[in-house]
Amino acid sequence: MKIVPIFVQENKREGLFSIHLDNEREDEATKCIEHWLLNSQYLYDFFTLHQDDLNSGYYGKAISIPEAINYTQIEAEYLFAKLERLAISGTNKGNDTLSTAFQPLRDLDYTQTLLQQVKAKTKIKKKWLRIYAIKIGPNTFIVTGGAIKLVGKMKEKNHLLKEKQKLHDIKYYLKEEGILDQDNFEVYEI
Amino acid sequence: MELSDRLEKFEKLVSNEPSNFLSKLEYYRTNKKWLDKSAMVAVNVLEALKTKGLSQKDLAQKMNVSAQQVNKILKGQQNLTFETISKLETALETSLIEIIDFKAANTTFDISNTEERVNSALRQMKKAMPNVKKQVVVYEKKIALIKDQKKTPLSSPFKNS
Repeated sequence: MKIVPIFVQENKREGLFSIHLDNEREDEATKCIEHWLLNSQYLYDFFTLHQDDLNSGYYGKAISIPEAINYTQIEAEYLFAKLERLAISGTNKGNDTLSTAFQPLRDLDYTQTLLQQVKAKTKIKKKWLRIYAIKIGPNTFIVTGGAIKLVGKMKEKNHLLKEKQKLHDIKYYLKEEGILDQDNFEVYEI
Repeated sequence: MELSDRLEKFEKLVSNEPSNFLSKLEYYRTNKKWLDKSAMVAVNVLEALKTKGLSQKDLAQKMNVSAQQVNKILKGQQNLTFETISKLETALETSLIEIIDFKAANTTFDISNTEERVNSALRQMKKAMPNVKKQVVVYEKKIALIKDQKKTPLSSPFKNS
């Protein structure tokens, strides 16, 4: 596994990074762009498979698969533009940083502390896209993956559980590399 | 662990190979107009395949193209030509895009020179007004005459009898 830079300062200590898993063509952040903006069939297959969740009422009235694809692409554009803006402005002192976009992953965890597992959310009509990341510093985030979340809890769906597992795996990796210590790990376990 | 120590260790872990995130995002933004249209066609094709119970392989055979080309079309990544769209429409027996009739669109929606047209219509109305007024006077006289005739009692045929 590698950690690749997306938007970074020269010293590679601040900014947005992503993990790139072995045997994968692209890193996890780039895969989000491919899936949500550049692959209609991926979205069509996803919403066909999860049509019951789409019609469950969790996100309001039931909508068609083409409508769901449209909403996803609008949200994705907004989300990526926001990440880009914050990642760039966050390198200047006094400006908003990535911390304003990412929120704590656990519903009860209100404070943003270092080394949290966090998710980036958007403020538009259908907000089902998630980008998961681990926070290393005030403006240093590593993207571990992304998902379309049509249900309330991650444990309800396999594809969300996989993302959760990835977060755990990356935390172990960072711990082994001496970036996280045992206390950090215990405190921020999901 | 101090933040600076943590970031120093982290920096050593970061690969020199950059992510393709920015280049992919730039590609999408640069080509957004046709990519969005291509995505809409792709979704319509996928819906048509589902409705007709056809597989992608069936579609490739009907269009006489490779499975890879169909795959690219369905991802919404193909800059479609009219020839390909026509092949898709024939294979699926459905319409995928609508071309606006330029002449009809102009007749129905042309709002150019609106001010000039309105002024011309007003000038014509103004020109016609004196004649209209004269005509109105004539009609009013006729109506008054008819009313008077109704008021005047008819002479009795038996008056002198």
